[in-house]
Amino acid sequence: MASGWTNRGKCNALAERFRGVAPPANFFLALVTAVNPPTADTNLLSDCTEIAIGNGYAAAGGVSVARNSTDFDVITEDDLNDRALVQLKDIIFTASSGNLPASGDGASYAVLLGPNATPANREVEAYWDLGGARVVSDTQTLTLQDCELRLSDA
Amino acid sequence: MTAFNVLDFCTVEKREDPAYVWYAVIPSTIYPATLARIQEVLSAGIALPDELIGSANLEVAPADGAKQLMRMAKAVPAIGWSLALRPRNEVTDKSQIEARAAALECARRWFTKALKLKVARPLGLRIVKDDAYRL
Repeated sequence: MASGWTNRGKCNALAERFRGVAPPANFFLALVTAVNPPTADTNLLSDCTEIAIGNGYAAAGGVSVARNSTDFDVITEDDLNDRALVQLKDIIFTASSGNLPASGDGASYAVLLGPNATPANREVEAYWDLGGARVVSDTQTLTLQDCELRLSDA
Repeated sequence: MTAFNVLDFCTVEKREDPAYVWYAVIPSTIYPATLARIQEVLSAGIALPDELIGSANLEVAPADGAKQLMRMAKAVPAIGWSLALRPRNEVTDKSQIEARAAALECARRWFTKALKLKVARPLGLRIVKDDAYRL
């Protein structure tokens, strides 16, 4: 599967729920290339290759996503398929002063990260396949729509 | 062209969750209606269905969500639409199971997006049990 939770993300979610580990105040959403693609076994952003900084991708480690109902704006309890799902709000990256990314490979995956002052050390909680290496022309936008996380036993 | 008002298929569900407005939906209601709507849109060549146009985020082009779901719908194998209305236990071929699942997931995403745009606030959705519509 090219999208889903990482095992680190699953572990963190369970630890927060059942061990009382403090949840993060916020997450980050970053874009990475197909070089070292994220998998269920990925732990840190440094395990992946983040796209080049600049031209609308402002900072290493991605953009902040709040842990609240505004940024996780749809939650589904699916008794039909015995699972639960949560969706992120739309996340937009607008290319400015040139193509986004500014150089190198395009964005092939979005990764949801836990917080850490050092971006490379941010834990990868989940990842989504963008369906190919995305390069956005100057002034155009890359919009991540309704990225969805699923929780199920299967 | 039929009107597709997702609120017609929802029942408000009371929960101790002030952040979200919760709705319950019945698979045998929402799936046939949404599958029919998607096929109607595809066969009529509608580029951007009304119920999917809009965004809570002013930076997002209102049609972006519709475009994404239209791409998803067009990627569903044609046979998936009819298989989606057959009970899961009657479909045994692997490729047919996948096509059926693609159609049902497209319908769920379509319905959820339309409902999210309609209520314009954080949304909770409970899909009640019905084994006929399992993936």
